[in-house]
Amino acid sequence: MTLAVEARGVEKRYGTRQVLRGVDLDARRGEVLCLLGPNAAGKTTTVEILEGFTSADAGAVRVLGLDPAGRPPALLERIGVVLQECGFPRHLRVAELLGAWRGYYLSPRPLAELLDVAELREERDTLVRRLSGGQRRRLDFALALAGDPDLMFLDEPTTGFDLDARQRCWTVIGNLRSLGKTILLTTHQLDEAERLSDRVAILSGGRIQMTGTPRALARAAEAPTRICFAVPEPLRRGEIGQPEGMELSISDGRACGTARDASSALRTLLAWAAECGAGGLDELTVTPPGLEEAYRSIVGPAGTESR
Amino acid sequence: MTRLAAVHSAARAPGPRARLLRLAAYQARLEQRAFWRNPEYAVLTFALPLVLLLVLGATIADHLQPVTNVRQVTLFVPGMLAFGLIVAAYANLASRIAVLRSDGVLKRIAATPLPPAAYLGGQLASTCVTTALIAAATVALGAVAFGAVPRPGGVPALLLGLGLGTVCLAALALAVSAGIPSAEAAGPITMASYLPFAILSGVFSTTLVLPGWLTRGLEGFPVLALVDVLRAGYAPGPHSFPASDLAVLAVWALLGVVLARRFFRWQP
Repeated sequence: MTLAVEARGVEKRYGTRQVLRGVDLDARRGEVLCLLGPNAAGKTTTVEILEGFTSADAGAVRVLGLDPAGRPPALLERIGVVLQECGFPRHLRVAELLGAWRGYYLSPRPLAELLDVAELREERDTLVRRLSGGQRRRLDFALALAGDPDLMFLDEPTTGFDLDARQRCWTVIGNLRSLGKTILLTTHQLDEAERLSDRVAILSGGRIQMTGTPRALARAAEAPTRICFAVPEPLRRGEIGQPEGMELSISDGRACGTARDASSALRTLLAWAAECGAGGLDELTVTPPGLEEAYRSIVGPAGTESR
Repeated sequence: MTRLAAVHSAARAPGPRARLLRLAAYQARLEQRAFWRNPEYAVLTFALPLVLLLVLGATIADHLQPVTNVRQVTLFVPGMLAFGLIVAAYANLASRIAVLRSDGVLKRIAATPLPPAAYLGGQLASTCVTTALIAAATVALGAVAFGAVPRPGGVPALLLGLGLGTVCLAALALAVSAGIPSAEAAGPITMASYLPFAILSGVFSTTLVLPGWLTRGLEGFPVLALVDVLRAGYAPGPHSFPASDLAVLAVWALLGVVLARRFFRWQP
């Protein structure tokens, strides 16, 4: 059993809106899997089905080998949940709250470790209502880790935070990962997905459109490679025309073009440059497609959101 | 590995019932701590019945009931006792649960393996502690300020009424909280659901006269039953045991538990 999460053909409808139209999703043990998609794509619905908070209309779901429907205690012992927005009992101190949560599980992690992992050592005796937004989010992580789960769900963990708070959240997620936890993370932010995840599953139109490492997704999306170089003098003076088979856009002294087959495009470009006496290509850069290109090719520019 | 560890500690741990009780007791302590850390909330919960007792009690300190010639304040103290119970065990609990649900705290709890019975048991136990303290303060203030004390023979019925009344009101609070759609609605809904009963059941007045049909109708509801039980504990002279009123409370307590089990929600 190497799969922590296994979903097949999951469907969910709210009223007349069909949110999920057959989601297939696998999370391997020990990996950080990122469920990436635009707002309202059904990321939270998917996660809530896996957590047992929502029931699927159709399809099969296994989480750590168990059916999450009805939230069986045996499963709750082994998963940690960070909900997208969730209040705290506000009149308790951080350590008291973590102590309570540790009591809810049969084999909790030590309190000091929870404070360390979530970087809340200084806030140990602070009342929860006095914590900042970022500190509360890290407390969310610590609470989710209290039972020493095998699998953690993080729903939009850094949405709405400033750069510093995001960075610290990312550090904490890195800490969780180095504990060997399987993490299923949802986000609509490409940089977060690219930075944190081993594999990315893109959810759009009610289905998982693609799953793989950010590199593999970019390759599979057949997004073009971007080639740029300093504008050669003859081209700038208008003495020569554009190379064949490639449209260059020129701005700020650089010429850029895209190509599906980077090697042959480079051969063409170098031949063109030699032919028209431009010499070599100065300041040549070749940028392979990244997650953003893959995401755009699937979701379209309208669904892209980055900050 | 983790599963093995869990099995081991489960084997070492006392039985599931002992664990449930321990968790509920822990939760109750936590709730009490949080309650007293919110001074405005705690003080107001106590002040409302106590200040009303002093102010309204002072206006009728020398009055006698028509016909029976019992001092009115002797019957007014148990009315305020009922009011304190209603505020702490019903209104506060119902609106607090509704707010906890709307804030997502209940959902957070539901994502842990804490048994629901342990969480709700802890909430109920904490409510019982608060209610007992308010009742004790009310009895003490009634005795000190107005010399109103329970009839010695009425004490068992009084204690039974306080205990059963608290359980009944708290169970109804859990049931009603399920019907409160948002945190904003919590105050108005709880207030609207108890205040008419409290006024018509004579909580604030010992001389209220209602048409017979209305009184007969109210007798089936827990507030009047509670007021009657508590008054029977204070009113001088021979009294029969208030069995029918206690039965009404028991039936409503049972109904509250059944409805709460059926309709209680953890998610907003």
